[in-house]
Amino acid sequence: MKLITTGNQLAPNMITPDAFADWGPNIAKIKAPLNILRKAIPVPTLHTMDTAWEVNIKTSIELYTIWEASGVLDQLETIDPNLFDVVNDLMDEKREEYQEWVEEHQAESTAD
Amino acid sequence: MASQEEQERPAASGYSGFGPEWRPVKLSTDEARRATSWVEARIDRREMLVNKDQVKDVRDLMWELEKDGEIVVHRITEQHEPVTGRTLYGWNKRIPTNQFWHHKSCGQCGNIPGYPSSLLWLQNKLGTRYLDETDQTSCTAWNYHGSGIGNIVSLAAVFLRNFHQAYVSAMAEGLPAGYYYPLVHCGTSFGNYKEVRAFLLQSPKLRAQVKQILGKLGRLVDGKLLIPEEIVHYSEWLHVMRERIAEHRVIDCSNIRATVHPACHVHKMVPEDVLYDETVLDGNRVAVSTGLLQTLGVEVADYSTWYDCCGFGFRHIIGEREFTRSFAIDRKIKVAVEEAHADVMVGHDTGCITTLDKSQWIGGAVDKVYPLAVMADCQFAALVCGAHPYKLAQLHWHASPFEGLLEKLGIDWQKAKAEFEVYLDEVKAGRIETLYDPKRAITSGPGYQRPALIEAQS
Repeated sequence: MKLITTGNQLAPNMITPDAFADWGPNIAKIKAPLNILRKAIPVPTLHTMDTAWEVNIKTSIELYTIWEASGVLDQLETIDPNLFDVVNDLMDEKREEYQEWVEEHQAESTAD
Repeated sequence: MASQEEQERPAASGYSGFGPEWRPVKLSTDEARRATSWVEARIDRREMLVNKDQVKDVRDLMWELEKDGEIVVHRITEQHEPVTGRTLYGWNKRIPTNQFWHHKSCGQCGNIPGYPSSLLWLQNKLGTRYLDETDQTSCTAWNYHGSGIGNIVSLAAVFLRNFHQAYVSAMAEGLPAGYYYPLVHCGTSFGNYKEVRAFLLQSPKLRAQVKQILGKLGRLVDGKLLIPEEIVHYSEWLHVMRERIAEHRVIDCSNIRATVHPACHVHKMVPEDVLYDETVLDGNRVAVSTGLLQTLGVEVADYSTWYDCCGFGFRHIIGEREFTRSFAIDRKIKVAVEEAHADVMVGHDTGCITTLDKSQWIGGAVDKVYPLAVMADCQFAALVCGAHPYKLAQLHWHASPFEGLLEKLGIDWQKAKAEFEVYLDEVKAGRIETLYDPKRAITSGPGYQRPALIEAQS
């Protein structure tokens, strides 16, 4: 689901001692909240928790078009209809969010 | 009468060797030795060379398609300051050395963040121009091969979509299209993109399917698909820049013994495209990483299982973790420690670094404890060029014991750790140090600022 909805295959907050018990007790050898450790990475695009890097909303929407047009979503519906519904809802939300931004931006540009 | 092996095998139509069908091969010591000898005798001598005449250079097809007006090629030009390397077959491969669009790796950014930060730090050190932006997806290959999400059309569309963004990205900064050239961080992405490029160049049907999708996205150039002249891995940049990087070395590393793990996705997928160099282990191994380490002054030790996978596979890390962990420990880490007496294992791919680094702790459960530092080539290079081990190389995310290596390099890791902990208080207060202006990372949509605005604020 992470991949389909964001275009990232992994996220920092997926990696916990419970989820990866075989990695040992220390996900990081320095004790600090994950959000602080992530902000301490000197690469600005990595100051994230839910995705490996910050993903532009337009990028995600383009990826949805690829999933739809290449038949991947049809495959997903066959394999897991529930996941398909969840993914579709998320995609609709993001598309609406982006459309709202586009309309606002156009309104601002016209006002300028 | 059926053998025991046949009796154990499920009555499936085909044997996949995966999931419940997987069985240990139970090789005797002698049989295992013979298997390794085969690798030493054949693969060490670049066995693949014998098939050279049967392999076509897909770049020839690419130039033909461009000539026929079907595609546009994102060319490597003088502005990218290319250096020519030689591949396995002696073919030329031009490696750009400047103006990069960084194609990040989800595994590196997710759990080995010191990997990309070290690379960008080295590029800052060398005055390399680059763009690290938010408008990119992962290659999606791990999910395709690991869990079946995707198909060849989606993989090809993702490939061309991301590389088109690399082509046009500079326009957001008021620069011409083609200014930045894509530099792929992940070895899996590198291998996947090269496979997909070959499929695209060879299949008119696939090109037609993908063209329709890219058209919907507005990602054609003059109504044509855009294909990069070369698919370039960051380790290739390190390799052609190794002499210049070595000029910045501030720590003597001649007392360090390293083993290199050549990543399958880098050198076994599309092997004809991989850099070899007669000055690196007589040209019998992939040149990247080993060439860099040798130039930095490290003693690179050869070892009998160099050709083996790290254990990651494509699907094994997801579905066969026991196999992954055992393979990583028994066939790689143990051999590097006991046979090669290495201080560190250096790699050039996301999955390998993760597997070799994270599989060591669990070995304690079966008394297989072989402590060995594991890191990427660029992390090691950054360290010996003076990068901070925690703030920059971000070694605290590594599970393997890197502290001994740092001591051997003369780096006081306890002092560095304390400095980093103090820095975390600065971070909490919002005083964050970054390798580039964060505003540059957004090239469109919410948060985008035109370059003149960025310049005025800087």
